[in-house]
Amino acid sequence: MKRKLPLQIIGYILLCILVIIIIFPIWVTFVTAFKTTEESTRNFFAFPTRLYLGNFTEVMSDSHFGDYVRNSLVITLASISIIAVMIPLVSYAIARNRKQNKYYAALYVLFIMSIFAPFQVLMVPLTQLCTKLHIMNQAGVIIIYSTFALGQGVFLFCGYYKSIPIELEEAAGLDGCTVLGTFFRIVYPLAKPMTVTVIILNTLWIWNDFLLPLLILNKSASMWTLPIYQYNFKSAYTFDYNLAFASFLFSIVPMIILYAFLQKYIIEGLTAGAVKS
Amino acid sequence: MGKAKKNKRERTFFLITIVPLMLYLLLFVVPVFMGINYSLTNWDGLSGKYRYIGLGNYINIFTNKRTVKSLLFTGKYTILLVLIVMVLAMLLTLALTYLVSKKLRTFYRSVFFFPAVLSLVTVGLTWNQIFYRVLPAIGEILHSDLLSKNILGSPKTAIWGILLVNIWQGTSIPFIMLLAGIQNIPADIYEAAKIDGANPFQLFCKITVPYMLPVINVAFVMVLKSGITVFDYIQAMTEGGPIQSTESASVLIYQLAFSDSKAGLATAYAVILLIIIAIVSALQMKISSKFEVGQV
Amino acid sequence: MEEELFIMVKRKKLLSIGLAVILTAMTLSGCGSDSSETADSTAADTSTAGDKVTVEFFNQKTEIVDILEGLVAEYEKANSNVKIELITPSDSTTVLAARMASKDTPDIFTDWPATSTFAAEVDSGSVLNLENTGIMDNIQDSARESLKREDGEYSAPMSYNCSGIWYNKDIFEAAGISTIPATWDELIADCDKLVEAGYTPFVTSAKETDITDRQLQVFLASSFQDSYDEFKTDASAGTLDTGKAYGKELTAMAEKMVQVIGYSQKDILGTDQDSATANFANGEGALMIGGSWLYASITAANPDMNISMMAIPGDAAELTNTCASAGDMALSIAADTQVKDAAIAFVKWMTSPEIATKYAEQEGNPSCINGVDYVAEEFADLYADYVTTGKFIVNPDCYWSSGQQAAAGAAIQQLYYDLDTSVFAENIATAFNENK
Repeated sequence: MKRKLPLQIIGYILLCILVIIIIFPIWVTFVTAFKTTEESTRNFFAFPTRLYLGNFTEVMSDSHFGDYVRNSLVITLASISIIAVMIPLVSYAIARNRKQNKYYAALYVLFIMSIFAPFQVLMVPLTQLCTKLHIMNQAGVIIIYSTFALGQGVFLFCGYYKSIPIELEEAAGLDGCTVLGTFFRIVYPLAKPMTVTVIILNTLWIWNDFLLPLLILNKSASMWTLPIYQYNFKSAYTFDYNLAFASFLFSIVPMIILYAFLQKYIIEGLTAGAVKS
Repeated sequence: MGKAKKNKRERTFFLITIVPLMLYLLLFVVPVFMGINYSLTNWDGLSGKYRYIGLGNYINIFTNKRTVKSLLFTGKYTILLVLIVMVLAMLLTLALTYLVSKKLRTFYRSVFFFPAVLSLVTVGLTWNQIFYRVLPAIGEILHSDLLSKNILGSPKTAIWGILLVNIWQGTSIPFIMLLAGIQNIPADIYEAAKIDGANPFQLFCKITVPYMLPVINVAFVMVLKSGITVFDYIQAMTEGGPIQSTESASVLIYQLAFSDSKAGLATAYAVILLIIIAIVSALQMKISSKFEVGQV
Repeated sequence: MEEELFIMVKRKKLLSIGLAVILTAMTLSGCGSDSSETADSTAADTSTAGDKVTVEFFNQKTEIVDILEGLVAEYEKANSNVKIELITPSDSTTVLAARMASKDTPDIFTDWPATSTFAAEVDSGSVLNLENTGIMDNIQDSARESLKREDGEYSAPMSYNCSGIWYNKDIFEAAGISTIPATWDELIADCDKLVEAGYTPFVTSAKETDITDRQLQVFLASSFQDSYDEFKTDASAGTLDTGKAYGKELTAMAEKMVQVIGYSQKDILGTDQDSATANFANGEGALMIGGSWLYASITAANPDMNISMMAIPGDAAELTNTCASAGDMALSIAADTQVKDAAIAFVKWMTSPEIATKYAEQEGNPSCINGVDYVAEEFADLYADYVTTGKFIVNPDCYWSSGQQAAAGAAIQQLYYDLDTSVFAENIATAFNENK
């Protein structure tokens, strides 16, 4: 192990520099949230001179603040609940049939196509469609998220299912389990690491998404989500960094909690199966 | 297995796919076709009135310098992003696995994941200030002409500013995936190879990479997607400027549709982009299925 | 038979699972919105909730939200049967465009009537003709005239915007400058004085093309001898020819712009308007090219600041001019609104002299409403010399397509970047001709 020492020291130094590069912008966000506009105008990066909580109280004093938090939570939780059941299930159907059945092979390709489609391509037709279908509301947004999550989700799950030994399922089938029985009793529990991964990826996306709620939920401030509220601190020629960053901190907290709870699962077995094959 | 039972199985599988397929057809495929329809018109994006102009918009795209430039920009950006993010994520993974003790590993892992938690708007706005105030101050100290100005302010360097921020945030998830992948390689395989006298480089090429190919493939697809569809970082930091030097395909589509009132042209461009993407993803799937075969 | 039946039961079960998933989502979100919106009537229902009429008021001017909230509350108090749903979304132009494309135009909306975008909105049939509503009687004739279209009047302007140079009176005094410069040479002489006194003369921002496009307009107002009209026509038609008289004028103008860059802080292409405004408010420069649209943000950053606005001086004093337009804040109504009468009544009330005075006193820009005398002192001179006399040119970008504006803004950035005035006229011509 001795000969590794110089390499180890260099590695540690580089890692420390990286940590600083990563922490610095987050530190700026944090510090700005605790300063007044005048303090920030004087020196944007200096430490606050006192513990100023005015930005937080002002952010919360918006008469609709409770609505924004609730809307963001409802949309994220509902979409994720659908995604966490629908995607593993449909991927299972595709993964087990696409070798022998053209329908499932076509379905796979169709879903995968949407991974790379930029949202800007679809936004005008999609808004028109939602107006016609009268789903310019939370339910509409939830259904759209669930649909747009299909591409990446199917891609990830189909890869993962390959690693789950088919013998287990066949045994269950002989024991009289139906397709759904086999799925929920055997396959779904084994796919837990991938489910967690998909939940984290989609939660980060949905919780922070700006453009879709902006286009669909603009009839009343009580329909807004947190990112729309945050962006509102930016007007055409001014930007209130202090208020905006205070509101950013509000929305980071739930994501940190989520990550703390679920990271164990991703690390434990994101690719456990894939590698075993 | 009885025939009836087999039938039942097939029906269940088919029924499972119905709801997602319907949703997908309605909310993804229908808008795509609406877009294709608009791409053949001179629609301004507002009025109900438009006129079919054949392939005029498509011809316009390939003859217009601005659209061609933005396609090239997107290509260059994507290649750079994928290369840098994948190499960086791999280096970090190796460093954390072989250089760092277990306790510190958890700390570094949490820190390196943190950028992924932030919204793109937060990230863009914070880095805007860093580029405007901090980097130039450091550049002054170092007497570097290049760094003493906002790198987003020059058409030559702006792409690197955007890339830096995208890498800063976009490496987190590939890194976490690779780290999970490497930790799942059975240790006894390494031991066996070491006994056979393999050096670290050989271990990396012959064991680490092949075992991690599936997860590398997944991470690669995700980075590729974020490169091809890059929008928010650019919109938050340069809006395609200066001198239209950082207009990606998505940014230009957005501007054509919403500020230039050329929705017909914008959707035509979008359709072309979709075709390019379809080709890229077909190639990607071919390549990754090869990997999978090699794996078994 | 039994098998068959079993399959059918299964199938139904499956379908119901799928439906249940979707229904859960709908009810979940439904519950969410019901619980708190018992007091507010739901936004989607714009018609009538009981006897109450709900009118959506889509505001695009973030900086005036507080003022509008106050006025809306006042109106609702006086008219208990009306609810005005004031909404100010981020990135409002995108939202408005998407909603108009979906035939879902907000009942009342603010817009910028002297722009090509607004013209397209009117052409699309989304905007109500206000001619016979009685609203337009509140508006000054000159403002009405400048926005009138052949087929009617679609916008009720409440205030003017005007452009020029913001200057810091305290710094001028400290540098010993007592009168504002009347000609370009005097301006340059003053800049030298400022440099001598240790000040940076100009704060310039060029990171965003919509800002550089505005700088182009301000310079156009006072840089052209008499080829302006020809330039205006050719530019909007996309047929600019640098061989014409305005070609030379464009080059001369570019030289002036380069002079300003020489007197500006470094790194102008890296400075966005937000930072430039903050720097100007901090006293880091004495002059800033811009318009009345910066008033709110400058005074917000430094409320005690002693500032005023002047026109960009021409080569001779009589060539000095500014550009302005009616409708910095202007109200329009959707053509297909379900609550036409209520919307008209509210706009009429907003544009009444009493309310418009209240508005002007809080917002500061010169008013377009008959019977409003108030003008903020920062604009008083400019307003008296150019706007009331009608000498100003109308903001030229109202004749340009958005694509032309963006390309022209980029051409200005190009000039600031390589300071090459010899190709400027050609670049401007390309920008206009290729983006018609």
